[in-house]
Amino acid sequence: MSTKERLVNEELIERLSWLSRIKLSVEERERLSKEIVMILGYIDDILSLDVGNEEITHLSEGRLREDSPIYEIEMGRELLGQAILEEGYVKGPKVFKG
Amino acid sequence: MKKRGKVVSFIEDLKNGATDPYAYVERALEEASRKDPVLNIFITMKSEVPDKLVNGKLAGVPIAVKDNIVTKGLRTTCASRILENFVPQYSATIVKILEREGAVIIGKTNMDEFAMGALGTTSAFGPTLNPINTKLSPGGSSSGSAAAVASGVVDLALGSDTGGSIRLPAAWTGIFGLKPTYGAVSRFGLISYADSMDQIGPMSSNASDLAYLFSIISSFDPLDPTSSHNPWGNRIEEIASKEPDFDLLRKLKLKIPRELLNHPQAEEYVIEEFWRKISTLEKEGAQVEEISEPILLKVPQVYYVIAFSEASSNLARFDGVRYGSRIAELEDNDWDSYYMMNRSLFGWEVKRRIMLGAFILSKGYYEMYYSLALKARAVIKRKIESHLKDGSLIATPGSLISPLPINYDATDLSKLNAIDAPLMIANLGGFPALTVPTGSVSGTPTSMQFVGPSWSEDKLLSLAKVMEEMFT
Amino acid sequence: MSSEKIIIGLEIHVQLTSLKTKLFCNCSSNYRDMPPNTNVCPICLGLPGSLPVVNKEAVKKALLVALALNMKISNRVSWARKHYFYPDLPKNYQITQYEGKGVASIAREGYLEYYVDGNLKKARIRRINLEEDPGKIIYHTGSMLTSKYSLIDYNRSGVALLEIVTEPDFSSPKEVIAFLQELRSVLEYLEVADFNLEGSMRVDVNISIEGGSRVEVKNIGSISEIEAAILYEVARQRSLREKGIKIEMETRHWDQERKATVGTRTKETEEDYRYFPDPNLPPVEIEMDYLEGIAKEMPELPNAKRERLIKEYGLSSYLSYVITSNKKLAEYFEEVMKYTKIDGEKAAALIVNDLVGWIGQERIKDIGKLVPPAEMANLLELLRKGDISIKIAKETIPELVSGRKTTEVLLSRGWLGRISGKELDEIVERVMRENEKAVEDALRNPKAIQFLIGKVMEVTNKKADPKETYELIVKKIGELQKRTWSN
Repeated sequence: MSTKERLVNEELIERLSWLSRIKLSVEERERLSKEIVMILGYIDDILSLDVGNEEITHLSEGRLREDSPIYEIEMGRELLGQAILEEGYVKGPKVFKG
Repeated sequence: MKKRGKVVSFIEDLKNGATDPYAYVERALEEASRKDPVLNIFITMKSEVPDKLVNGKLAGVPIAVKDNIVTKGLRTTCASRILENFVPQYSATIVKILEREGAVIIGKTNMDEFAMGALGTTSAFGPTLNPINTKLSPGGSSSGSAAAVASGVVDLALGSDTGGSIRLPAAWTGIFGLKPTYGAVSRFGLISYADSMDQIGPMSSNASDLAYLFSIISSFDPLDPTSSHNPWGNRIEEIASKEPDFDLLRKLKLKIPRELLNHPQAEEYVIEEFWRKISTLEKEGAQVEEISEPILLKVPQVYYVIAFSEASSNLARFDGVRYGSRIAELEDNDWDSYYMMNRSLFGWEVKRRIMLGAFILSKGYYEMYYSLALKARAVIKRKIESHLKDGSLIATPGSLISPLPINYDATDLSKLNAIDAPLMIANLGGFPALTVPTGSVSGTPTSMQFVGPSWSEDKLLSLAKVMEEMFT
Repeated sequence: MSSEKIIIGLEIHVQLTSLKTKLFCNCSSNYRDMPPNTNVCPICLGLPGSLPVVNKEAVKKALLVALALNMKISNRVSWARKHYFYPDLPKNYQITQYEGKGVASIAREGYLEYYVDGNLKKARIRRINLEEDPGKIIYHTGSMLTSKYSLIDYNRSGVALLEIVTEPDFSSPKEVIAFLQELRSVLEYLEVADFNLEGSMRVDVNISIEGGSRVEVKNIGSISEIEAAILYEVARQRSLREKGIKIEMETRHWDQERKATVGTRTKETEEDYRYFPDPNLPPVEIEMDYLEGIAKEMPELPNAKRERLIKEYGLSSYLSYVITSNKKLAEYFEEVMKYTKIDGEKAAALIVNDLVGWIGQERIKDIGKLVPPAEMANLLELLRKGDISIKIAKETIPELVSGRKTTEVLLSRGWLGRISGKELDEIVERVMRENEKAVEDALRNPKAIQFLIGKVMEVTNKKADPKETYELIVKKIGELQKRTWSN
């Protein structure tokens, strides 16, 4: 068994499903296990790369805007056309697990 | 001038009163209604000619827009079930520009779900077929936009390119496609896949119209934090209307990465055809140099680490509360189970990229993968820049392999590497890259890709005009 | 009662209410009293395709605070995403700042000095971060525990928050409260926040008792609630320990209705926020020139002002502390002192005890409009010159608060002028003659002197100096007593 196969176990799949908040069927779990091993095997090619210390996170300069309405943009409740509204509030799931 | 842009000509005729302003759009809608049932080009299509046309640089010009670009009042799905019924009440900056200039968006084009895929086959609305041969994939992820242009429905389309998504379908359907410099076209309203690499770009049936559309859509946008002012003034628009500048070839310096041409998956005819075209350019005065950069074969792996991570973050917002489809009963679930069910609406490719991204960013793996990929990205960018700083362009085949069958099971990572490696260089470095058709070999389109330093679109588009004149 | 040491650290979230717009979009930062979900745009709703652009003024305010808290300032402003799923968080990640992973907090390693019972203390500030406020959840049943669904208002979403994280440097609720009060006045001096606005300061408190795990109590809305929450949590942890139950590291919520901390059933170890640099927000350099410019704009801070007022006006440290705890009050005091030569301590006492007493704490911000400094100074100056008594001064103040002028009040009441010396002596003699019964009472019971003082005040229309009157009567009663005994 390779390191990757040992790493990719039921517990990891459960954890990734939880971190991503995506429910997986039994078949999807099995498929994901196999494919993660495969893709990580591919991605591991970069582990042997000789790199420096510089990291690139962005390709352009940062910018700040003035503290005033500098552009026009659509605003208001109309933007929430697909939400369930109750008296103007967006109806969302409960946040207590009881 | 032998080849004129169709859009450029139409606008000229319109000014001279030589054409019916509605003719172009009517023809496009008619073509769309004939081609779409066969090719599955559009996810949402308009059927009516607008009552009024806006006067502008694109007055009465039909255009197809990829369905990851937000259009107010027009369904925008990202080819995903999770946005199946999403009708935004705001528009992307680029859509506002098109509307201001009088363009008519005739439909939202099919694509890989959330732009994740190379074949156009991950769409929740079924794959788009290649107009050249319906057994083949048109390439992805901007599959519908490419097919709309290649099938003659429109001369202009917008695609987006995070890892080759404009250029691969351009290569496989035989059209022109430009991935602009990062920051040249506003991303506001482009539904994010990987923010640090996403760019919207033009696709066209010809080089002049490609330049013309690009001259209109490239502008600074205060709503996009990574938007920049471009340095070209009127130069790009002039390229669209001017004669091709053959003098360019005598100043042209091309660098050809040996590792890509020697890729184990590269098809022989592709390589032969590429060298044939290179030698033609050489005869016209171009200097050609082979370079060696073994790291280029690892560009896709670096790209995937970064893209998966950003995607896992960008796609967290789709939970069914504020917008999007929902399958869970609100009052039966707490928020975690509600989200887990709604988010299971993502297709498989999207799910696995999100989960791999979550893995890469999670405790213990960030340094090992993500941080390393950022460092590799810096190395790759630096190396490419050092090759480009003498005014050279990097030249590769538009695709090292022929269009794959539409039912191809994309599990052969070596084949994907051959598709990805030449294209993703531009995305990692933010460079502009252009794919131009160069004819065909036994019915299969051939093409070349040129990568230039940031803000060299003027040079790339001039070259496109020359190449168009020479090879098609 | 056990006596293990209590260890407390704070995470304070302050809304930058002085900004006009939100942190990353055009929407108004003043979302209060707006109908739900009307102060929203695609950006603060996290709609697909929207992108954030950083508010320059928010960065400036954060840098001001960093300088005031003696912090080390980063050479660039950078942003990270913190991932967690919650209905009030539109993107399911929060754009914030972070130490590490190629990004940094805007400032770190500072401190703030504050007083507890007159003793100077110092709390270390670990870091400050700029971040976006989430939306607001309300519950249709009124309680998080019983609601079958939540109702979300995103008007607040995206408002600029400054997160201030302290080291665990507090050992009692008293210290925590004194620190928070000092921090509030510093932030008010800097004009970054207005704490009269509901919800403008929210505090997470990390509490442990020596040797136990750290428990985080989240989202406490007011200073008085903080004290209650700490006392409750310490008692809870102690009682667990006495029962031999292990204290788990966890996050709890403060239930304001029940006055108790409630577990959230999420173990902290399950969380993995997966911070990484926000790819949409390239860092922005903080130029030295820019920082120096901000430093020049830095107003005098409460502690410095406190010491200066003691030195310059001879204030007691107590009154100086009270005066400077509110910037507007301190400015008012100094403005008043420009027009009068009265002893500072006397002026401060009248302002703090009487003027503020009449106008109320919440109206201090308008104190100069309610009673113009020149008007107050006029009154104090008359007091200093002996033209009015302290009693009249005190009684004039509420009239000033209701909008009348000093001279107008004094003239209409006939209070101007003070009676003392020989004149007062004669009046006291007369009053004692006319009130023989009262004098007899006073001879037996010194408390009855009050009646005679009242009479003198009545006759003089309060112009008699109370202290002098008292002394005169005491003297005269004393003489009468001697005479009685010698008879």
